[in-house]
Amino acid sequence: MSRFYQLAVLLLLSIATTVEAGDPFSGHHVYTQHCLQCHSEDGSGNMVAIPNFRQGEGLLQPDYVLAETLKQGLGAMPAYRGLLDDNELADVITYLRTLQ
Amino acid sequence: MPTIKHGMQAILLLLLMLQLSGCGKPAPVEPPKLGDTISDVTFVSLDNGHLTLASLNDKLVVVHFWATWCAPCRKEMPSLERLSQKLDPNKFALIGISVDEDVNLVKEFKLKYGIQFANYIDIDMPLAKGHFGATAFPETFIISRDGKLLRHMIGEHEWDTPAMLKLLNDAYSGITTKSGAYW
Repeated sequence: MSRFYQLAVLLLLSIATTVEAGDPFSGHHVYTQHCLQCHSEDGSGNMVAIPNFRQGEGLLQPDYVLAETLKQGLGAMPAYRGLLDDNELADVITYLRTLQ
Repeated sequence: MPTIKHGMQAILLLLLMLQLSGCGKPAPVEPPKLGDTISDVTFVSLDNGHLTLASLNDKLVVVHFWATWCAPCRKEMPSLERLSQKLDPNKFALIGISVDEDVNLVKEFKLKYGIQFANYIDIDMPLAKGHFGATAFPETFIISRDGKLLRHMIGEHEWDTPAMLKLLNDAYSGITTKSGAYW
């Protein structure tokens, strides 16, 4: 195989390894840093308008919809586009789904 | 005539561009703590003009990061505009900094919603991430007349309430709360 094709395969592999399933342990870290203050430690929410993740509120939608919501913000929740990368978003969504 | 090798070369080039697209972005820093001196920084206007934080010396500076794609930012923008009209420009500087990737989106937004207060652009977020350590949008940093961070506010607020105006005026006058903190 020529060096050209070897390089192409290496690049493909390096990109493929950046797309991973969410890691709930890393997600917990993201949650603690960015979400806990309003959503509370156990995800039940600190205020009336905040969804109770323990009861699945706000979570009955696909991951990509949740990720988009986190990027753009919703209601009083601020936006995280450009500040959390796709892996961090996947991690925190995976963690949120463990709270139910 | 295009060959398989040419096609592969194009794909390789695309992959390289994808790999490099993450390069050159600012590394995030820790946000400043209350009381920290904010080092001088240059804001770039929508028309590529420049303004330094140091040039605003002796004004209370409100640095507000936002974006047109950010739902809570859009929601609170009218109240920020009203606030700007109520603040004495000799005492206060309200600095909007959009982190949009296209300056035209910001210009269009301003036109559509009649936003007139000074706005600047921070493409790729060198200021938001690399200088102020922003953690979400909208995010606001209120800087005292002597360049120290008085307040770090995350999320949307109602900016033109009497209480907020009093807080800003008190901060300008150096009036602190009982605890010694500004707010």
